[in-house]
Amino acid sequence: MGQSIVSILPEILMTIFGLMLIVIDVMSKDEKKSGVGYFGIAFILLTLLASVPVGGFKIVGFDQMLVWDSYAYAFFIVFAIAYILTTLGSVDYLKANGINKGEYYTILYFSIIGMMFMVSATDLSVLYLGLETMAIAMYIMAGFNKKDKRSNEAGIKYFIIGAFSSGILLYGLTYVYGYTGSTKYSVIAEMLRTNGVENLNIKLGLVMMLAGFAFKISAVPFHMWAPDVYSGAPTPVTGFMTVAPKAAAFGALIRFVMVALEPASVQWQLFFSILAVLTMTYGNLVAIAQNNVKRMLAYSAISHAGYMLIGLVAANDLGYKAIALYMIIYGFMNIGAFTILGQLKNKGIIDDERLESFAGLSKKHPLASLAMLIFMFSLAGIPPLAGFVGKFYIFSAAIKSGLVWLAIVGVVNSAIACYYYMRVTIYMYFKEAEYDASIEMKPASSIATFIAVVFVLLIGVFPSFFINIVKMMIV
Amino acid sequence: MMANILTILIFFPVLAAFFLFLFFRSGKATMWGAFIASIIELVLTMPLMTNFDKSNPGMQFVEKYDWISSFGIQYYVGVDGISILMVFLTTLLTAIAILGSFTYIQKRQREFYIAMLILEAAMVGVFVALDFFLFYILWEAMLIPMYLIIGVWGGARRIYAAVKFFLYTLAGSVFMMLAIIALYFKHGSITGNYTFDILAISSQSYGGGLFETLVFLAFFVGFAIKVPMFPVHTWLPDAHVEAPTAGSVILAGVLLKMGTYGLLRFCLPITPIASINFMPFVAILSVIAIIYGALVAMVQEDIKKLVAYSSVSHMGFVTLGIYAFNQSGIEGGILQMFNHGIITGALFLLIGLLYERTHTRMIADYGGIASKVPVYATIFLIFTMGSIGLPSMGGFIGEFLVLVGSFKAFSNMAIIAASGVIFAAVYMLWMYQRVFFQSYNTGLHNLTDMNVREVIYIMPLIILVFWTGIYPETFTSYMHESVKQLVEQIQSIKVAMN
Repeated sequence: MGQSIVSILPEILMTIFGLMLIVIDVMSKDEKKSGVGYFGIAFILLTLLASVPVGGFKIVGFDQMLVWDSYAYAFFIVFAIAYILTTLGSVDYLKANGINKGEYYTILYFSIIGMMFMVSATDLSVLYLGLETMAIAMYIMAGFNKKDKRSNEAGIKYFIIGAFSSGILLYGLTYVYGYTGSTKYSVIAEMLRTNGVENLNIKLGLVMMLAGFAFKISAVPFHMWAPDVYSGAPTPVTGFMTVAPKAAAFGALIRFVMVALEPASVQWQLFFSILAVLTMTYGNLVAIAQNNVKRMLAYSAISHAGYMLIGLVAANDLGYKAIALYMIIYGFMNIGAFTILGQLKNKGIIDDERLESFAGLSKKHPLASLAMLIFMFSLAGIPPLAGFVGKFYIFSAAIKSGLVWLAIVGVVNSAIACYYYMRVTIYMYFKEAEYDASIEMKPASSIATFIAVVFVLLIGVFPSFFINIVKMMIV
Repeated sequence: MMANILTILIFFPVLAAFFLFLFFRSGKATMWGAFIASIIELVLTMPLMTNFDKSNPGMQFVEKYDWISSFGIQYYVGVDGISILMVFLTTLLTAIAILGSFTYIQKRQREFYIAMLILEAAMVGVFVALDFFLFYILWEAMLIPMYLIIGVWGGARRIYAAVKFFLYTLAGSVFMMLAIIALYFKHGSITGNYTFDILAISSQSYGGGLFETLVFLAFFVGFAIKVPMFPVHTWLPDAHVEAPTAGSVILAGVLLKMGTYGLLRFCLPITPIASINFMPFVAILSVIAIIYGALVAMVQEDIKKLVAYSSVSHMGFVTLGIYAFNQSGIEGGILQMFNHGIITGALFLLIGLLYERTHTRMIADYGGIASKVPVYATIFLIFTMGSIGLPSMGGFIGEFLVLVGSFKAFSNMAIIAASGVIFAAVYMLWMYQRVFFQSYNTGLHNLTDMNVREVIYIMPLIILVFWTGIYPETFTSYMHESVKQLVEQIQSIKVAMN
């Protein structure tokens, strides 16, 4: 029992702090709601410090229902990065859009507790509970800008499709349970090892479960919700959504396929290698056609999920370490880019996020433009920026497993992707301003951008620190 | 200090750029700051040249530190006889290009000079990197400043040119990345030592099978685009023509050499069997580049584009010489790399300062200006002759050695390639005649001759073009031993294959 409590201690700590956050929200004045976010950051940092793992530790709790290990911790770092940067990037955005509410930070905070359960789950029921905690929080976040029709649309759309995919996942889960007689990963693996995966029921169940996961990581052809939701949601929320829930879904998926589906690895490798190729290619090709940077980044988020799937298909220890590292790096560069995007204001006739709004910005805002340039080239995977380190690890994992063809598809895609990331820099640096656009960098978002830039450069040149974090990971 | 000279050479320009970025507010101050920094960098290269032990074929001034130890990645740098001239060429041309931009670059000067210094650091790094990871990072890192230099300060079609340059180079190098990773695992599985150490990977044989062929092709495509070899040369005319003068000088003078340097440093030692198998293929592509580049240069109406296409032709000689796999061929190739950097760099500078005055580069807009600008005409003639390969000038020695070397290896190819020298005379002299002689175009009456600054920055190049032509031993003496070692390695494998 003692060990069980220890295994969810980080979540308990997070929950207590989360309840305190609600109280703080109630006590703070309307114009001081940003304070809730700052407290949230402090709480998450405290939890992060309090649960620092010692070596390759592993605490199994509640009769193998969940586990707290360095693997879960590495993903917790991703969530913490996403929360901290998003909160800092949101403060000014919320004020500017008149939605500076305390619950924004609180709901964002609670979604992370759900994600933590997802990546620690070694049991289908815990997995599903974590997933729903996260998902419901994210539905609210997507529709948070109540006055904006597109945000409402995003919320509803995300809710309906999300509920639908959760249903499919749950339905598949019942099949798996029915066939194997257990919700525990280890028991499922044992059953599959002795009985194989030829039975139609287990096939059906697994396909539905994997499809449910594919919805959450927005893999093509289960991505239909992503572009609209990403472009409709408040900009900082989009940044968060492309990182944290995706990382959580990947974290849960990796543990599920590596532990529970280990005997069926040939089958799921095939399934995900097809998804990886489709996801990368589709995301990149459609992103090229976008004129709205937010929508372009939404499609780029899809393609990045495709790169990460390569790491999953590689199915070696380098692969999932690469995914965790990629998520950390992606968190810095993508949320950084969304922070700047959130501060871009265009007094002209067209949407704020249109590519044309970026025209000539480098003259007016040299530092913000330089930051955006760094994020774009990092997303494109150009060294010496962090994005390259992430890609390098992913492709290394693929080659280590002999998946050279998949690595080739990956690098061709990252070369294609360069084009649309470059378009933003072309507008910022090579073109003259067409509209009266400006980036209003207030202190909070400046700090968020600065942190993101520093880490993108630092990880690019000295990746050892974060590599050591993911190196301890053991599924 | 001598022990860390290479690290200083790599990081000094970055630190200087950072310093200028933080403390220099005006464009003019940054300009002078960058110039002084580039001169210091050039001066720092001198002890490297003088303390270099020419009798040692191996790596010198080696520095090795752990960088990402879990992946066997090191910060590992060193120079040998092949790379040292390239380092010198880089620091020399950067200093000259910066001085040559003083009046050419009028807008956003701060950013320009900072980009130049960062570019310089990456270029020096590429030539001295002995760790694949380090090499690849620097190789790609060059793209960003060069992309900005073309895109921000370039000519009318600069955006198209910048994007084309970027995507071409990137498309080639991503496959190189896969080849590097594949070599890492292959070398690790053979020897048990997982490392990105270029020398360790080079010293291992990979059997010449499918693996080696694929690795060779991945490297070859990446380098061929950079050289550029026919048929992947199409980015070059656009990039060279649209880039500002300094950009063209660096592109032609240094960046193109990275492709041929890569062939020498990676393809030959790491994949020797595949290199030997593909020798006829590379030789044919080189000869096509020589002839095709020359023929296309002949019909150009834009002086800068003409010189750009002449680069394709001249670089064809370099690849032909390298793939002859003998001492004179490879030495000629390296010398030709050096000479082409000097001569084409100088030609781009000269075209740039003409363009600054008249804002046109069309041959048809000129005529008879020799009487108006005698100093300019004389200097231009010197480099025209250098480009043609007139004896007593650098270009002659390089091409001569290449032809001697390739004649031994594949005489038919050498005979065809030699006609490229004649074509060079045709297009260069014809262009010179139409620009400087014939009837005087009265629209050019305010054309002024070169000023002191312009003569100063062209002077070192004039000295070097004669020096390499009259006493090439100063430069070839650096490479004798390293090239000899490389040739022996290749030849022993060739003998073993038969």
